[in-house]
Formats: sequence, C-alpha cells, structure tokens
Amino acid sequence: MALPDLPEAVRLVGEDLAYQRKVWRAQRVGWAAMGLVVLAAFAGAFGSGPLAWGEVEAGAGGPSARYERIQRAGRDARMTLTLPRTAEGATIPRTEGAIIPRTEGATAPRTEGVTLRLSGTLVEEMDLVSALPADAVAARTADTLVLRVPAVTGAAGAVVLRTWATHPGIYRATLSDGAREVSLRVLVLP
Amino acid sequence: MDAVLRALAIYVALTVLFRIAGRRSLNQITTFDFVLLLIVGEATQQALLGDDFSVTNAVLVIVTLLLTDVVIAWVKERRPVTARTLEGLPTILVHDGKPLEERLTRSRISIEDVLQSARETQGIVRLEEIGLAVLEAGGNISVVPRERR
Repeated sequence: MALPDLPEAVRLVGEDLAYQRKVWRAQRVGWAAMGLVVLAAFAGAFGSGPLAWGEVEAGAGGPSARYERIQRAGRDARMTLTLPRTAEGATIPRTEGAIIPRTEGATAPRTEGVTLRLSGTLVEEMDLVSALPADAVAARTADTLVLRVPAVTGAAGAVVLRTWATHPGIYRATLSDGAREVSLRVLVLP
Repeated sequence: MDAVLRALAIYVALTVLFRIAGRRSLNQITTFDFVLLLIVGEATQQALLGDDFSVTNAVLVIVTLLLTDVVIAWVKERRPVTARTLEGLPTILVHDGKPLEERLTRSRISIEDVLQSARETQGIVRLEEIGLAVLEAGGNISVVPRERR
C-alpha cells in the first residue's frame, strides 16, 4: 500500500496543526505561570514567606501584632502580640483585668499584665493550638479571645499564639488593649 | 462536603497541570518520570484526605473521583471539542522517513524517542524505514513502516 502524502496523512490521522500550535502556545504560557507560582511561593504569596508576614500596631505605645496574613487551612500559623517595651521603673498602663503592679523597687521585675482582646471572624474561625505563656488566655468566647500579656519592666511583653484555620476565606480581627485598637486581616488559602 | 470538594479540586488541578506539562510527561516514561509520578501521588494524598483518615472519607473521595471521570468521559463522547481540549489531537512527527522538526521540537520528542518506539513496535531501526510516526493524543508514538511487509 502506497504511503499517503503529508496532507492526506494529516487528514487520515486527524491532525490539526493550527489548533496544535495554539495548544503549544498555551502550554508555554502555562509553563511561565508555573514558574511564577514557584517564585510567588518563594516570596510567601501562599504563606510561609516574607510576603505572608504582616505587622500592625495600634498607634504609638499601643499593642502590636506580627502575624501570618496569608495562611493555609489545616496548617499551624503563628501570631505574636507584643506590648511596647517599657522603661525601667515606668508605669505600665493598666487596663481592665490587669494584675496590680508590685512596686518594691525600680529594678524588681514587675509581673503585672495588660489585657488584650482579639475579636472578630478570625477568632471564630481559628482553633487555638497553644499559647505562650501557657496561662495567657484568660477567656474565650465565640468571637473574642481575652489575653493577659505579662509585662516585665524594661522588656516588651508578648504572647505567642499558634492557631489552626480550618476553612479558607478572608477573616478579620481587631486587637485592642481597651484604649487603642487595630484591625488585621488574614487570608486563609485552601 | 469537604471530601467531595477536595477531590474535585484535585481532579481539576491535576488535569490542568498534566495538560500544561504536555503529553510527554505521561508517556515515554523514564525512571525519573516514574519517581515524579509517585511524588505527585504522595503529595496529592494528604490534600485529598486532609486530617480525616476514616473509611467514609476515603470512600467519598474515591466515589467523587470515579464519578467525575465517568462524567468527563460522557461529556467527551458527546462533545468532541471537550475531548480535543482535554486530551489533544494526534501530531505527525515523521513522514516518509523525514522528521518534521517543528512538530518534534514543540512536542519535546526526540528522534531517539521515535526510533525507540519504531524498534519496539515495528522492529524498525532506520529512520528512512518509517512511513509515518504519530504522537497520539494519549502520549504514545505509533509507527507505520514505509512499506508494509
């Protein structure tokens, strides 16, 4: 049997070169997109990288939060809530629920705390895996986490939370020390 | 519902990614390609099941994947445009003993791949003996000898 010429072979095989060229072009675009995805992942666009970390501060002297603004459902995320560093002997502003400061001397570490409230849809969504210090969580309601941040004179008091988001979405929270507040927003990827 | 959504998302993601990667990834499989597929399977498993390792969840995932496959096959049968989009079309790589360079390069197929397929399926060892070599939609290379014996 004689071999068909190329146009005939194209017809018999069902090749469509014009369409195939479009597919090859689309594939090259796809490869470029895959490269961008890898670069974005390095940068933290999908969590765990420089772009993923956010920091907000509730004005001068107010509490601040360093948190993962891009998280993934089903994975731990970390949030550090910090009080401003206090000067030796300075009075740490007490807010509702704070422990009465001890005043035996300027150099004695003070163990009073400041109460922070983290509230919003982020709190509703997240499971709290752990808190450091372990007794930092004073109370939790459906959408509010009440935290007691220990403060030591001359140092910045902080609470580190490890959280676990279960569902993808955009969640918001407000961090407040009673006098000042700041909003934060978290994107949870599937 | 979570298991069903996970399975659908993974099905779509894998279909798109393998389509982008090209047919060569699914056939002409080397040892490295095989290891790569194993890793893809391992990485997919966790995303499919999440933290629920119950039998119910596994069955839900399997049923969703199989049903999706059946539905896609049904659609492909009725709408050829879906089949050509998802699977591609055959591409002629060699005609009358002459390699078609653009098609070979763009398909990422080397002459060695074509000759290997020719040896395996037709016992052909020379390029000039190949009448037609076609990269099929499924990823395999079919070879028609120049003159049928």
